[in-house]
Amino acid sequence: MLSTGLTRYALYALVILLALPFVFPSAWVLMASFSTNTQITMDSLALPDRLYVENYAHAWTGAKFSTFVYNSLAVSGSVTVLIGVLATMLGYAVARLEFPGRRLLLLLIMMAIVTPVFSYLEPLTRVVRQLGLANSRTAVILTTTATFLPVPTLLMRSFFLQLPEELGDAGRVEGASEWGVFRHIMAPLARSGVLTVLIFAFLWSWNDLLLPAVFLQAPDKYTIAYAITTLKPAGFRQDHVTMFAASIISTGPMIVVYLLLMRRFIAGLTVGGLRG
Amino acid sequence: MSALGNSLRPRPLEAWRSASAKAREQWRLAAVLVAPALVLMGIFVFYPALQTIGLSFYKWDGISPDMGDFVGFKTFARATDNYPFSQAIKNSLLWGVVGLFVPTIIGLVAAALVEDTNLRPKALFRFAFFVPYFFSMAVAAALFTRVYDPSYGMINQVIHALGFTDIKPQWLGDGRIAIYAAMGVFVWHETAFCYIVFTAAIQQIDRSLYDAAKVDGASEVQVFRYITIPSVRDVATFVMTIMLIVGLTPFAVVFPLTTPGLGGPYYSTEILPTLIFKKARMGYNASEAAALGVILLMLVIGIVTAFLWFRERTAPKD
Repeated sequence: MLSTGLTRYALYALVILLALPFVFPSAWVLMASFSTNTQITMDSLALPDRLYVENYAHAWTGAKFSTFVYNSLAVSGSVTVLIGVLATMLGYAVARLEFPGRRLLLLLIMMAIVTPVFSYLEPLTRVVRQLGLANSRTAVILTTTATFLPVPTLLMRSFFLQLPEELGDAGRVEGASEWGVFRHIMAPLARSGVLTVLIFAFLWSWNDLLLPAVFLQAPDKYTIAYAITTLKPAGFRQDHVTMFAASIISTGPMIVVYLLLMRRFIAGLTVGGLRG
Repeated sequence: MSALGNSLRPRPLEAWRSASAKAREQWRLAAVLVAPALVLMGIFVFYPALQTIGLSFYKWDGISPDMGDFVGFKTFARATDNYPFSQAIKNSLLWGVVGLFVPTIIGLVAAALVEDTNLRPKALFRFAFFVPYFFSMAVAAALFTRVYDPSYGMINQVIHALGFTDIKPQWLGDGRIAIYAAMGVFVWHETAFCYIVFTAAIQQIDRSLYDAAKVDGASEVQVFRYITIPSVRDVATFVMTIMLIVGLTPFAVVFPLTTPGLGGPYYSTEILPTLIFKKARMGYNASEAAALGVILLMLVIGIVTAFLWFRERTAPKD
């Protein structure tokens, strides 16, 4: 807005000062991921004498992060598809269909949002055990989908509410069934909403710690976020660089999302979230 | 709950007979669309959530086949009458306040600074404020065990490089500051979320409002106060609600920061979710975990409802 010299410099100084605490630790981690454990223990602010790319190779194979990335992709991929489908269906029903119990259903969804998983953690583990799903990725996929579903559902609901009802009626006049109106008219029009939901679902499940920590006991099933938090043995000979490299590896999907979809992601964020 | 009465009352059969063909078709489709999600949430959300309430009134370790005796509110008394619990409540409330205001205000100010001024290049600044979000909260917390390390950690190395050679705070080892160090990680990570949502909201404000203000000779601060803030009010309510919920349950921060001890020196970073996790997963005390779960549930619902009610009440009339 303003362009006069001195204020402009002051503004730059202010923004840079504000951004520094957010950028600096990330830059430090990136630098340290190419360094050596000795270098980090001696002077962690100094640049390494060369780029130790082998840290990444070690994290990938030696510390088995290829497995953890695979697990995370399997879990997050399944959760994303499930939430995308279920939130679209449920969101459409509560937005556009008249049926008995609709308001009760909406209230249940709202209640589920403010009910933290922690409050029913113990009974939940028992349900999972009774279903024979203990220590399985399936348990993580199903519980993550069920507990994350309410917010994407409300997001889809507000997307569907924004579509003009005349479109559905036009389809009905043309002889489309209610299913046809949903499947071939409304759902395709809510595509940008579905995209937002898919991105959200993927990121949330990729980042989640609690449910993998509760349901996965065997290390070969760990997701990447959980695996990194367990890579922290107390003691004197800590392997810092592997953990730093693994953390940078874990940012992969986020960076892809940021680069490819940021504009749409931002647009979807405001349209959706805000009309409860 | 009384608002529900109406939707619950119609007798299904009569309603079905008198409904039009279109209505019946809608009911059928609704049943198909709702059923899978409802079954999944029923099994993994509603059923265990109801169970937790029942369980909290029994004395049960979580292992024995029998549920144990009905003890009424005794479990609550046992779960709450101790130092870790009072510590956890204190920390959770403080954390809720921090979550409500700190990342939201920094995020809003940063978004306004980048979007509403002619700073260049904008893409670089947007990237800078979003960077922490590339890491998940848990990974960020695990990384900060290194950033906070008293000897080689980034922060103390910077303090050292600035010339303060004898200041070496034990960020996570000192019970007096550990909780603030943990909140620091939370703010570091969540500000990025607030920032990006506010950026999206500010980008959608009608630019002619700004031009008009400029013509009238409004200062930057006045523009921020009288145009930006009122325009993003609904988005702010959304962001603050999310931050409140996340702030009351920041397990993903505390767990990686303080494992294997889980709780910081002498419960200094204890929060309700870590207490519940310990009782449910490590301590084999299902009833107390359930009782604490009920308390957490009431706390979150109460505080979020109060917040939304307050926002509703103070909303400008138009």
